[in-house]
Amino acid sequence: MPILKASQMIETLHTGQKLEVLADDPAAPSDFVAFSKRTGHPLRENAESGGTYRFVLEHK
Amino acid sequence: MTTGVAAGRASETIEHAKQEGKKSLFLVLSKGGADMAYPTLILATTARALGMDAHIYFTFWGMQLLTSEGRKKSMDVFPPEMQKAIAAKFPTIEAFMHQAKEAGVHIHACSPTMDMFGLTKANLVNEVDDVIGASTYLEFAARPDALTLFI
Repeated sequence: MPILKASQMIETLHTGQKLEVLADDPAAPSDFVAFSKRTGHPLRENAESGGTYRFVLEHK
Repeated sequence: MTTGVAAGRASETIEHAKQEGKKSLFLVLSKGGADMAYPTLILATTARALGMDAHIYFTFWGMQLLTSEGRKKSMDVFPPEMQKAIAAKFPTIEAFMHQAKEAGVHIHACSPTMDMFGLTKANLVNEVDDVIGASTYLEFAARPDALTLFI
């Protein structure tokens, strides 16, 4: 459940700080786009390599 | 990236939800098996992660998940090998309910069902916020910003 973990972690950060998330859930790319849109925390990176998805969220 | 289309679709849906002002999720959980409880808990906690207000109204067999005994039995719907696979990926129903509560998901128990099953508030797990009837549920769910699903 990468979104749940990411949402808990990002709340511990301050404006401008970044959170890197690695996930193996194939639905994660669209989930992170939705999460970013809804919460306003910009999604700075969204990439896949060898079945691992990597995201970088920036605290708004 | 093959996921671009899905990502686009999800963000369109979210944009649409924003325009419509859907800010609350009201789930009715009427089944007591873990196969119904997991998707309900995933949706509710994800709604919280997205900044939405989330509620679960437990009714009929769903009320079994608000008792310690019923929670243990809820996993019986899965064959043993699948129980193992789920345990590797997800918290137990008990732990997940606790996490949902910590995340701010509101837990409502159904008053008529309690009567039917001979339950009192003392029989229920302590995550329960309140015991309500259908009218109160409908009053919540009739809000224009509410998205409601029956599970």
